[in-house]
Amino acid sequence: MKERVDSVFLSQVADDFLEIAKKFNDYRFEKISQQLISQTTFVEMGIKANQLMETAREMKLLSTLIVEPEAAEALQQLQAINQEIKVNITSLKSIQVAFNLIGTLGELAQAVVEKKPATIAENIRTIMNVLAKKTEE
Amino acid sequence: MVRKIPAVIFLVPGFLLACTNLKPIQQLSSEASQGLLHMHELEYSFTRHCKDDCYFQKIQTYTIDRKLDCFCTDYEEADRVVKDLFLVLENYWSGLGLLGSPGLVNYDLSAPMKGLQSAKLIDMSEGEASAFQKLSELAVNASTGQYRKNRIVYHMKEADPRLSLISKKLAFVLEENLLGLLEIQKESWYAYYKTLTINDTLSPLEKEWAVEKYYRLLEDSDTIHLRVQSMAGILDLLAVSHRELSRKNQKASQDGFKSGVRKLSEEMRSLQYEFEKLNE
Repeated sequence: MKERVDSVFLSQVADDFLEIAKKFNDYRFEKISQQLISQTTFVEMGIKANQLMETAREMKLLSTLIVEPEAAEALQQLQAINQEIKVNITSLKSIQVAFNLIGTLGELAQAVVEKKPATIAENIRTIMNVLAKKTEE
Repeated sequence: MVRKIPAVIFLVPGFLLACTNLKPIQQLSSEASQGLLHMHELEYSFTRHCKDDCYFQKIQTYTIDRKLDCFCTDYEEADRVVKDLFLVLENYWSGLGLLGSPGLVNYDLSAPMKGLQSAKLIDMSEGEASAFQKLSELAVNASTGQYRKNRIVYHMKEADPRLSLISKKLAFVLEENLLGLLEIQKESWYAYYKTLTINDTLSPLEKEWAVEKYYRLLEDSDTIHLRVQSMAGILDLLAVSHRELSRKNQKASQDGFKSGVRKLSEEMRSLQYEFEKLNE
């Protein structure tokens, strides 16, 4: 029954990603209305958010089709990280940190979908560093 | 001397069978089959989602090609999973209905079975795969007559864990994954149309058009959402009712069974009503 649990899990991680993308969209719409970011940054941020949603889409599909057992551990780690990001993303003062965060998260999600354990681990480390910086800035 | 057996003896089993009250079983499966029919009215699928998104991508990039080429193979595969799960449930319930029909002499399930066996089930854990197979087998065994009359309830008991697993799986795929995709699509619309409203190069009229378009899309997706949710509700209700009926009652002719079926009918009708309202 392991796979079934993983299917549910993967679907939940995809939900998390959608929620993060939504918050990130709120973030960039707010920053542009306050003229704190340029039009170019706004568009680039939108591309990153779209990439994250695109991966969430693939996760929903994978959850219906198949879930690799090796992805399970990475997914567990991801869920914890996602919680942290969801809480903090809208309050990020540094736009650069927000930008890095959404970018790395997108890469990480892609690595999960493409089942690349090394890339997953590397991206999780990067996100941890970005999140650590968030408290400094 | 060989005594002539009166012809009436041959008639007795058929007569007794007709007397056995199999009506609740028939009613149960007919409610179930009717409820499952709504699956054909969802008007949304993984492939539909893929095409909608592909179309929307073209709009966003102002791309016009001679043909709308969308790469939806994986989505078609997901629809096949949905179809396979659905067929095994439909098969079971209609098999149960046939068992409850007094006129049943022979029922050949080999054609739908063939289809089921050749269907490629990609995401099936071991438990799910065996549930899938067992449920199909039960439908076949049951139709050969050995489970007739009150044995039907025992048969339901045996089928129950499998039915529950398959129903849950299908409800999960529909509610979490198919609707999850719709939610992602909604956010894409939100970001795109909202961006248009803050675009200084657009006239107020063009912005108005964007707003209207966005809310229309939202309204349509709400209807899809309700339909899919009602379908998942029907699947849950059927699985729960099946469990209750097979647990509590030893005989299909008992009062508990009959009232259980009545309750299911009422709940099913209310879900059907929801569906009809959506289709108005």
